[in-house]
Amino acid sequence: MSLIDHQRRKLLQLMGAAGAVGLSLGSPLAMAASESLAATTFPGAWEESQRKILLPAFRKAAGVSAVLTASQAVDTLTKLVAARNNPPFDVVMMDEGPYLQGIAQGVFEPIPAARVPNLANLPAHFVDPKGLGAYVSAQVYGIAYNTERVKTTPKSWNDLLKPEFKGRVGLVSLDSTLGTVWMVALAKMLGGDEDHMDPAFDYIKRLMPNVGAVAANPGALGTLFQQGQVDIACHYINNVESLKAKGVPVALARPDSNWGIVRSTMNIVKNTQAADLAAAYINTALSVEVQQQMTSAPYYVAPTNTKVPFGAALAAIAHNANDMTSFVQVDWARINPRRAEYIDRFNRLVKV
Amino acid sequence: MNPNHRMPRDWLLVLPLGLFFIAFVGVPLLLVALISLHNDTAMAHVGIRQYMVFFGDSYNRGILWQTLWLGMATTLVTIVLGYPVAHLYVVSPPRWRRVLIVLILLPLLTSSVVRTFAWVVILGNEGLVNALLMTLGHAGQPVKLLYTPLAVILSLAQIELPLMVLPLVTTLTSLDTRLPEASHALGASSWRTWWKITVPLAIPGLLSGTLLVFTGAVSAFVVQTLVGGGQLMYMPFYIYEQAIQTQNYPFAATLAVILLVSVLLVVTLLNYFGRKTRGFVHG
Repeated sequence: MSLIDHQRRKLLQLMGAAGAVGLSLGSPLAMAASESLAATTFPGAWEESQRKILLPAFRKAAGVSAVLTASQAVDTLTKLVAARNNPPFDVVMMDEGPYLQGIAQGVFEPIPAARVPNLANLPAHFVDPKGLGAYVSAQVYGIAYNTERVKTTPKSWNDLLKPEFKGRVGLVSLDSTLGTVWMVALAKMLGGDEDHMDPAFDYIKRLMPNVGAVAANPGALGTLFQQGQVDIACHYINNVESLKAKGVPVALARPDSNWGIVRSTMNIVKNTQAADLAAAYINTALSVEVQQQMTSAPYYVAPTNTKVPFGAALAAIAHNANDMTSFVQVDWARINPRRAEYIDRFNRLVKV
Repeated sequence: MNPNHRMPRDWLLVLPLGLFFIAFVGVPLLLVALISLHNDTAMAHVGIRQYMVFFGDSYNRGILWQTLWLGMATTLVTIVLGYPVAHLYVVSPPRWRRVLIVLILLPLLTSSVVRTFAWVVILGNEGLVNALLMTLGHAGQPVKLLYTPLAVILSLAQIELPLMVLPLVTTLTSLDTRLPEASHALGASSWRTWWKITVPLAIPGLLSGTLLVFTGAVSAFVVQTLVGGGQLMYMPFYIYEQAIQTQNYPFAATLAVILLVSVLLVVTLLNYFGRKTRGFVHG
C-alpha cells in the first residue's frame, strides 16, 4: 500500500514538473506563432510548387516564414466561416467559385493596393473589380488525348461525339471546378451560357455512348489516361504535362471554341493579425521571379503578371497574360447559385 | 463483501470514455439530427421536407439501396473467402499459426489509399487482370472492370477480410472439439457435422465479423470513390457532395441520419437473428 502511495506521489511530482516546463515553454511558442504567416494552398502539385518556389521567395522578401497548409478551397472556406473572429489562416488560396462564396460570407479583407505593387502588372481581366482578391494564376484546359490511339489531332469538343471514340471518352464529375467550367464552355460553344446550360446537358446525353468512365476529380482523370481507361477528355495542361513526363503518350489540343482558363485568387482573411505580411505574401506570389518559376516543368501554371513570358509547354498557348483575354472564362457569380442543381442533373445523367 | 456495493465505483471507470463519447459522438450526432430537420438551406424553417425529398425520389432511394447492397455483397464475399482461412488457422500447428496471422493481418498494415490505388492499377484497362486475359486470348478488347460495382466489392472484400477472419478465428479456436468428435462417433459424416455442429457454433463469430465488415463497407468513402468512379454513387460520397460542394447542410444531414438509421436497422436485425440461433444452439 505504502509503496503504491510512494510511487503515486513520485508520479504526481513528475507530472507537475512536466506541466511547469510546458507552461514556461508555452509563452515563447505562442509569440513565435504570431510572427509567422499562416497560408493555404491546394493539395498536390500546387503545394509542392509553392513550398519550393513561393515560400523561400517570401522568406527572402519579408524576413519571416510562412506556414503552408494544403486544403481544398471549399474546405478552407468552411474553416474560415467556422472561426470568423480568430481565423486559422492569414492568407488563403481560392478557386473562383468558393472565392465568391467567401465574399458573400464576408470573410475577406480588401487588398491594400499600395502594399501589393505587383498588382499594377496584371492585365484588366485578372484584376478583381471588388478589390477583395488577387488573381495569382491561371490554369489552361483543352482537349487532352492519347497520341498513340487518337491518330488525328482533335479540333473541337464536337470531335468527342465521333463514333470512333465509343467507350473511350473520359468525363470528370461536376463536383470539380474542371467539370463545371467545361460544361459552361460546352454551353457557350452551343449557344448557351451560365444560365442556359441545356445545350451542354444535351451534349452530355449524346456523348454518353462514348463515355468510358467518369472520374471523381481531375487527379483521377489523369490516372484513367495512364491506365488506358480513356483516350480523350477535357483536362488541364499541367496534368497533361505531368503525365507526359511519366511517359504517358498524351498531348493537349486547342478546341476551335478556344482554350479555357480557371483562375485562382489569393485573399487576405478578415480579422487576421498579420494583414501586412499577408499583403507581402500576395505581392511575392505576383512577382516576376515566382511566376516565372511556376511556368516551368512540372507545374506549368500560367502567370498573370504580364511581364512574365510564357515558357516551355505554355509557349504554344500564348505569349503572356495579355493573350488570355479571349480564352473561355466562367462567370462564377452566375454559376454558384445554380451549382447544386447542375451537379444533381449531371449525376442523374451519367448514372449507370 | 457484497459485489453489488462496488458497482457505483466501477461505473466511475467508464466515466472518461463516457464523457468523451457524449461530447464528441453524442452531441454532434444530435446536432446532425437537428440540422436535418430544416426545410431550407439557410436553416430558417423547421420541418421534415428533406426526408420527403429523399424518399420521394427513386434516384435517392436507389443510392441508399446500392449502398446497403454493397455492404451485404462485400460481407458475403468475405464470409466465403474468410471462413476457409479461419478454418485453416484453427487446424494448423502453432508455428504455422504465427505465419498465418501475419498474412491475415497484412492488409490492415498498409494504408487504405495505397491498397485502393493498387486495385485501380490491377483492374484498369491496361492492368494486370486485363493483360492476363488478353495474353491468354480470352478477350480481344480490354474488359471493363474498373468503375464497376464488382470492382468495388472485390477491393472492399480484400480490405475488410481481416475483420471477418479474426472474429471467426476466435470463435473457432474456443469451440469445444469434443462436440464434432461426438458427432462423428455417433455416425454423422464430416459435412453433416460441419453443417449441423460447427457452423451453428461459429455463428457468434460470423455475426461480429458481419457487423464489422458491413459497417466498414457501407462507409468506405475512399474505396467507393476511387474504384467506383463518378458514375456509381454511394451514400458517403453523396453526403460529402451535399455538405461540401453544394453546401446544402440540411440535406447532407438528412442523408447521414438515413444512412445511420439504415445501418442500425441491419445491425439490430442481425443481433435478433444471432440471439435466435444462440437459443437454438443451446436450447
